Amino acid sequence: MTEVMLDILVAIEWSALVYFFITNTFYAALLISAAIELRDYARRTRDESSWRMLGSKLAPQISVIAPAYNEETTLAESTRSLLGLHYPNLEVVVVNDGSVDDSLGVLRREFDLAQVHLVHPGYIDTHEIQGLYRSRSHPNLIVVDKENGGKADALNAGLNVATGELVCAIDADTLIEPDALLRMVRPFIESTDVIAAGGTVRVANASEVEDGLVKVARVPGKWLPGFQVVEYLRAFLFGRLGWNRLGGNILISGAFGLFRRSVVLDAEGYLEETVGEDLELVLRLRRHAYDTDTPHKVIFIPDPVAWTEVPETLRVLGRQRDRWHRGLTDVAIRHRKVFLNPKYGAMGMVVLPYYVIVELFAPIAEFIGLLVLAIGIPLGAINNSAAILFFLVAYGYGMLLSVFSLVLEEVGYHRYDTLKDRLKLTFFAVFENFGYRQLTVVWRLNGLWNFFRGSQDWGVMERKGLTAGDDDEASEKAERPKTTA
Amino acid sequence: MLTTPVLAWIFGIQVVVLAILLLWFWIHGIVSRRFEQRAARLVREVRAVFLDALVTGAELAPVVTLVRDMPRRVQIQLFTSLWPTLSGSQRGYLGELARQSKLVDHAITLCSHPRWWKRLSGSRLLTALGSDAPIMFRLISDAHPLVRAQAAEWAGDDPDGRAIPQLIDMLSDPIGVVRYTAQESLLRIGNESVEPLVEALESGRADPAAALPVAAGIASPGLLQATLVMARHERGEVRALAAQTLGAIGAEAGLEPLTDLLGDPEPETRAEAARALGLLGHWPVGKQVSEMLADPDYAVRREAALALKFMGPPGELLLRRIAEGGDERASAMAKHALDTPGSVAAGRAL
Repeated sequence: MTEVMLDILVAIEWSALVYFFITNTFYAALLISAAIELRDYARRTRDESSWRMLGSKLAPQISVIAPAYNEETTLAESTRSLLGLHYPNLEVVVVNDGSVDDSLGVLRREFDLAQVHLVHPGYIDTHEIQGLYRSRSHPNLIVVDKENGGKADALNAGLNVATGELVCAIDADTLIEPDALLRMVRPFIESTDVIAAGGTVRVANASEVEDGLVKVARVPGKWLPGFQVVEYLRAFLFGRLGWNRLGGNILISGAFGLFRRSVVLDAEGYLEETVGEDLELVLRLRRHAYDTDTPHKVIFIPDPVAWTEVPETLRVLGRQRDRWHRGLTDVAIRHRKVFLNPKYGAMGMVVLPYYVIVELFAPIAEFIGLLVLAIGIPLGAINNSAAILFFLVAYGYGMLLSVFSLVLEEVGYHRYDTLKDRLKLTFFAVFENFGYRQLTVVWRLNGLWNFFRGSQDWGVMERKGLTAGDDDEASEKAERPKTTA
Repeated sequence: MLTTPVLAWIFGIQVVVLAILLLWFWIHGIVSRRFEQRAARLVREVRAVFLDALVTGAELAPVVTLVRDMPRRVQIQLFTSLWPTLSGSQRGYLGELARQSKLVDHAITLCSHPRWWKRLSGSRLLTALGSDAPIMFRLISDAHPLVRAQAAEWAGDDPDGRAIPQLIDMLSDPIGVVRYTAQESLLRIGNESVEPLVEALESGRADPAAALPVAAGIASPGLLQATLVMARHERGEVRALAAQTLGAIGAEAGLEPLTDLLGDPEPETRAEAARALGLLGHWPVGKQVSEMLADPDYAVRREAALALKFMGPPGELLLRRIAEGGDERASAMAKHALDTPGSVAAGRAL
């Protein structure tokens, strides 16, 4: 019996090593690709001036779609900040997704809204739209009032009324850099093959925010948001940027993404039946393009274009990660035909396999690895020093990737300027591997479990609000039954 | 199976790489911070001295000395930040300062560099400095599209429009950013571009899909005849752009072709024609436009309804009739247009 168990443990150990080798090969490729991409991007954009673009008569129209649910306290300010974005041909579509507070009333008063007879092309089916408003004071503002149907449904309603050639999907509470659209539109102008573009989303907690803009970027002192600052830098600067050269991205953050409207309408918009609607949309757009032999370029630009408030409590963060993993699982299953299918080129042979093998299975592999160590060492199946070294190498590699992302941020952007911020970043990059990373494994495993139980819950995000770098602002809750935070 | 010594080696390498990365992160951070602080101080000081010299018309020599002492990157930062804020003779003054500070020479050297990003950097600098260095003409046909696009942007600032023929050729460039920049530059040059644009449209030298947006932006009567020909083009996209251009030109001779385009087989063209006639307030076609509210295409119905709204009282009267009529779809669109605030309509007109 013991011998069989030992054999199993050794076999698992071998599998763990093979898995370790595959994931690290992916990481190494992404790492090199990200560094080359950032260098190339810096060369292309150095000393570039965008002031001419601001006065352009030919800039394609962009419709920014902002779904909102119970945001009466911040909606006027966030809408004003959207209207103030630096772009010459802008339309803002705010979708009130069945708020039960006075969100619509705030908009009516602040922007002198006039209700217009409801008419829209109905390209995509959505929950009932109850009203359509135009602003007398801001001719480029449209407000859609609809029954609550969740973020995907709200975005689809926005897509129905938007008129821009390009649509920018955002979360209502995302803080957008004033020149974000000027940067994001470049790939669409450079190539008609580009169907979507994403940019870096960063953590805004503790940063100095004024009039809806991040004035000074700061690293939070609290552990949870601090770890997430490093996580976001790693995910965007190393993860997504690297894919530009390795088969293209399949994920554009729901917090900020720019799409060619006609392509999204052809694909019938966002899918409501998933909690990973952002990943699902991009994958479906690219899949459709491969099937129809049409352009499918999805570009990621490394510039920080949007800032978001991340969870500060274990409970909320756990639910968010649970949801993200459920979303990933759902999308991987829905699009299983793409997996290792040469018909879908690099997306089928490299990108999706990465998301499945490295992202989806990671918590399972890590959990099993830790379990085998815990069982194998007392049983003598695993050499103690080899086990400790393997543990150190595995987590050391994670640390290396995090610190590499810090270097990319520093060399490319240098947004965290103070000694204190750099100390915090170093601390969070090193210590996220001890405790925090294991917690994310538990949350993601929970997500897998909940997915197979059939949960479609979005959870509730507790927001503190983003003000002038104050960590101790009064807590503000915004509950959203189906819409993401 | 990986043996302990192999793992120990990997771990050792990781530690070394980690140490190097952390050192890089910290040293770069400290050096960048110091450099940025110094640069900000230098730019502030030189800006003040320069603006003072600009107002008083003082000698440039002391400013030149200050600029020459600055690191190259800070010089570039200074000039590129000042350029968009100045105009006319003030820009000339800044250009002279750049020339005397040898920054123009540096940019010209970069423009001949074998590496494309160096040439791009040089051409961006020459554009920002408003230099008329002849090397920029050569870069219009550079192998790298970003360099070509930058040279096109530079050419748009040339008041004599010496590069107009090349800019027109660039309208057929396979790379989007080159076409876009050439369009923008021709628009900035304005009336000087009209004749070559007409010639290019008539001879088929320029892609009409790229040339017509420029024509619509310039909206010169000189473009009317060429646009009228384009209104009969075989491509629907071109006919739609021609309708837009005819609307922008606003000549009486364009009204009849625009009216014909209301019955175009392509919905995009019908919509553009309705919109153009609406913007021109050409109410005699009101009846025809009102019938388009029953069009199967949503965009056509919307543009037709808003066109009637633009036509003023006669158009609004037609909209009211349709709103009370039996066609549910047309009625809804008419009500929508009637409800739409005037400020929204004005915004569209812009």
